[in-house]
Amino acid sequence: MNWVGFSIGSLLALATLSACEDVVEVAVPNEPPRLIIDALIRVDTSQAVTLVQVKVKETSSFFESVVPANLTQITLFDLEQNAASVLIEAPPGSGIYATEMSTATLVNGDEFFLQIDFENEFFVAYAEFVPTVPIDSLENGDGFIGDKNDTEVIVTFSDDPERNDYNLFDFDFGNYLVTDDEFYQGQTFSFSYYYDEELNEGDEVEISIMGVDRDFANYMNKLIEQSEGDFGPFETPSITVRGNFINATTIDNENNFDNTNTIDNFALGYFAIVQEYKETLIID
Amino acid sequence: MKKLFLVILFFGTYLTTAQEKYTLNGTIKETATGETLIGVNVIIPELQTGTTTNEYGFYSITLPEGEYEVVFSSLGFTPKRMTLLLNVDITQNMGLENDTEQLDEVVIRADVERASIRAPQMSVNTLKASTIKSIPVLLGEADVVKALLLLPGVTNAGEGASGFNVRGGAADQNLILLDEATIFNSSHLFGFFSVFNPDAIKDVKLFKGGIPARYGGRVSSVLEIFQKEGNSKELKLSGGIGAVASRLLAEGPIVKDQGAFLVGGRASYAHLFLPLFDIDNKAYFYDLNTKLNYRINEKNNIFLSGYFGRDLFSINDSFVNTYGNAVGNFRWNHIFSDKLFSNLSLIYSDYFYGLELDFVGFEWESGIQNFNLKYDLKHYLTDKLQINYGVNNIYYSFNPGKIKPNSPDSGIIEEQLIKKYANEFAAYVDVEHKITSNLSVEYGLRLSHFIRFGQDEINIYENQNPVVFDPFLLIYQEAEPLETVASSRSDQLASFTNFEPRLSMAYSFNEDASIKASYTRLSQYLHLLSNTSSPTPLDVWTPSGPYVEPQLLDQYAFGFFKNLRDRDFTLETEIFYKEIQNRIDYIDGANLIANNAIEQVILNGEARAYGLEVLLRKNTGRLQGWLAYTLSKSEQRTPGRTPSEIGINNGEWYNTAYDKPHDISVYANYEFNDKWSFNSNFVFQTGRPTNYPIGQFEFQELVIPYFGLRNIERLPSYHRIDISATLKPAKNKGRSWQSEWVFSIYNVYNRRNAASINFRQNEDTGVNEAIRTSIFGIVPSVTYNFKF
Repeated sequence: MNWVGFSIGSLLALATLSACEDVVEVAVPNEPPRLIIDALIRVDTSQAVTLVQVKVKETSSFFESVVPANLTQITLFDLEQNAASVLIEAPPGSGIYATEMSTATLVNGDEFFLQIDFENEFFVAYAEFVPTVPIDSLENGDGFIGDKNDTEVIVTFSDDPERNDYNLFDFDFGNYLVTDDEFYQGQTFSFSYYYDEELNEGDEVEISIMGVDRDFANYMNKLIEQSEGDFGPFETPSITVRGNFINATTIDNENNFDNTNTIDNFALGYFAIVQEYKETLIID
Repeated sequence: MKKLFLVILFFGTYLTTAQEKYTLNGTIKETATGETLIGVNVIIPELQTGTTTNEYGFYSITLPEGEYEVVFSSLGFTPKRMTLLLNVDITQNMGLENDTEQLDEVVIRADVERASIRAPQMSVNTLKASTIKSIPVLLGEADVVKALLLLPGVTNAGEGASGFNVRGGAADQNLILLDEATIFNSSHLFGFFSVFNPDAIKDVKLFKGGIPARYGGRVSSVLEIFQKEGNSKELKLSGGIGAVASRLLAEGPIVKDQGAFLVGGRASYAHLFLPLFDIDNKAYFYDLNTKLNYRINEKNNIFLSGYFGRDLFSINDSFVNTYGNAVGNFRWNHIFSDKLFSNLSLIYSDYFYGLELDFVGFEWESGIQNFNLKYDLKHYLTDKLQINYGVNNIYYSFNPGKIKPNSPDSGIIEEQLIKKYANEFAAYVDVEHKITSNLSVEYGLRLSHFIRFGQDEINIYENQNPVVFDPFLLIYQEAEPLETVASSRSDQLASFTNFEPRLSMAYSFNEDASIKASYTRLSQYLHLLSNTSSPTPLDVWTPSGPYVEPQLLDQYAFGFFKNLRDRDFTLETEIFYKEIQNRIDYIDGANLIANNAIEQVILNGEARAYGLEVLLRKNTGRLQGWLAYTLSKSEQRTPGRTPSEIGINNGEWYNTAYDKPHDISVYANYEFNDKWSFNSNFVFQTGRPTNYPIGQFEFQELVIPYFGLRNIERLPSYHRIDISATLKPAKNKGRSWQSEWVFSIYNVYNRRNAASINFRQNEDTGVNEAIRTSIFGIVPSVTYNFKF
């Protein structure tokens, strides 16, 4: 979410705080399960070896739970080196497939290709390593924006003036934020993040910054928006957030070079290789 | 266009000189205040003809020589009859007296509805300030937009939603005019209140269809609001103290009977919405209405009017938000002859939005400004023929946003998003023609021309296509520009010309029943970029241009109008069908704020709406009010631009966010005695369209619902009853201080109407939940009003 959008979101939330909320029973529609691929590969460039880990699950109706998927095969190709590695599920039945790779290979700018065979369908996606900058500092703040129990964390980092960067922040507990350097290009930039969670003195939070490209930044913005379930009269449209996996099963180069005839045949999730810097902060 | 004017003028002149006729004209005012009255019927029963006063209280009618009884009547006023010998041109000014103090006496049955049965104008609703003030509302704050919502064909997206929707149109498709100046945002506090101070308002008129050619620029409706001119007889103060806001209005003569002023202010109390927090927050609004008028002589009147309103929110000083409209207007009424009335308007209006976020270290400003020059003439040729014509030019400057650091240690770099400029010109002719005593026609043509001027930078795309479709992922994405080019502000990036024909006709079977039909074409060159179910104050306006087409509307309406039970009741029924081309839609996940290349997220789609409206009014007696029912459908679609694209929502029609098939409103006002009167509303509406997830997925630590085709589900039906009682203390009698107490209860049976149902994971338990948000339960309030 860009900053202004983010702030208006909070503002509208505030405006409707005078409203009251309650949990209601709703009969939701359902569709057959769909594959979900979480292939966000976080690379710590200070390590020689990186664990490439992909989590696969199947969707469920909103009030049930998602379950691990069982793939026929999952393979990561380095298209420049013409090398392939097969990911192995461990432990079996977990839907977690992994392999170890040399960090140097992952970060040298090669294009990677992830191919998944699942129930006679092929899903493929491309990704390239996206760098970022380290977090300069994390500090505790005493401000608040929703209520007095908010926990404020002040994050400072120095943007790379040579690149147009998007960053994805992982604030722990499922809190994410996307930033775009359009308005702070090359600057040392500080901002505050406010936790909704009840955090206590002495709690440790792990915060990381990741480099992402524009498409993945857009994807994460949409995911965050949809997962928050905006409420009130200003709610944004509900959408199905599609990632970068292509269903390649029916695509051939001669007759059918698109997917417009199989609109509903897609997998959810994203494949991205990102540089990550992680810091921890003790809440005071 | 000029040629056309001349032809019509010549034609008109020919008609008038052919017979021995004289003109009766004048201005009609309220006796007590000197306030001019709009829409007063001037009827000559003998000839079964008549006219009505215009927006400035002026009327003119040309008749054959003779002696006539003339009746002057208007709802809420005691009619006046007089006999006039018309053998020379006569200027007959008239004062009418308010009839509210005479309720205990024999109710006079006015001829008020007779003229509207015969007039071709349809699809229009007029509300008097006194009606608006008597409708029970939330927290006792009388409100123009909330009153409109009780009329057929008018809805909004729900409680606390800003704007309003007319006949299935979007909120940005309403032209809102306050003393002829465009108001860009009609809401205070996100729609809980509207920006119009009811004390300062004289008359409100909503055109839903059959829109005369003198209006243009928005495709859905015209809401025309006239401020009072001020009391030219004596100094008066009025005001009110309410639960949320207080009002004070002063009006009086500058020179008695010749000039008057009006100054009205309104402000809400801080901390309005913040009982839940004990922290340093503010949330309030204020607005100021001013008006000056001066009659130079019988033929010349000048008016100066102004409006300034602001909302302010702040949280702990780390978040400060300000926005509002400002309007200034100079008008000059000139009467060229007893048949030719003119008005020149010079109008400035702007909308400002400002935001400061201390925790990120920036300030943000956006807005729109316009300069409007209008010249309108009304030519009263004969009793059967009136021609209105004029020109209008509006210059716009758009600021999509400017960001700057709010302190020296902020990392934010100052940046101005690219400003946009445009000009909209229009010329029109509109003819009101009584063809026979039973058939009246109003026909007109508006020519509109829009120029989008050069700007600092504009993107150029491959195949001039700023949005690309990925045929494998089946999503629309922003295209990368090939280059950006600079252009000067005198260059034309794009221009559009549209001819907008208008036609309305009425056939009356007798004095109490008629059928009417109309066709309206309208074009709209400005678009509000809004992707939420109702507009937010932050939304910015964008002009049509190289990548955004103007919206074009065709509307057809047909109606049946009848007076019932000796004109105690009036029944108005209409059906309408409308289509809008180039309704903009947004690609999934489009970011509309601080977006310097908005063309990359917009697709041109289409919209349509159709429906049936019934309005049954009771106009006389102790019990007055109306029953309104609307059955309608409002949809839009954005198909793929080529066969290899799937479009938005797979290219299928989907319900707009404000589609409400059934909408029933009942309003009743009962004058019990001199002391007590009671008012009540009942509202029932189909719940607005919404989306329920067809499944969920997980990515990292996020739980994300996902959805099927758009707007298939609906929120539960919305309904509520509001009541109010007004007490005028007996001691009011015989003193200048007049006061009243208004006790009101909103949502009497405390229904928890869903404003939305959303789906998310509970942060504490990790369980997925459907959350219903309801905004107002039962809300009692007391307001004290006074005048002296």
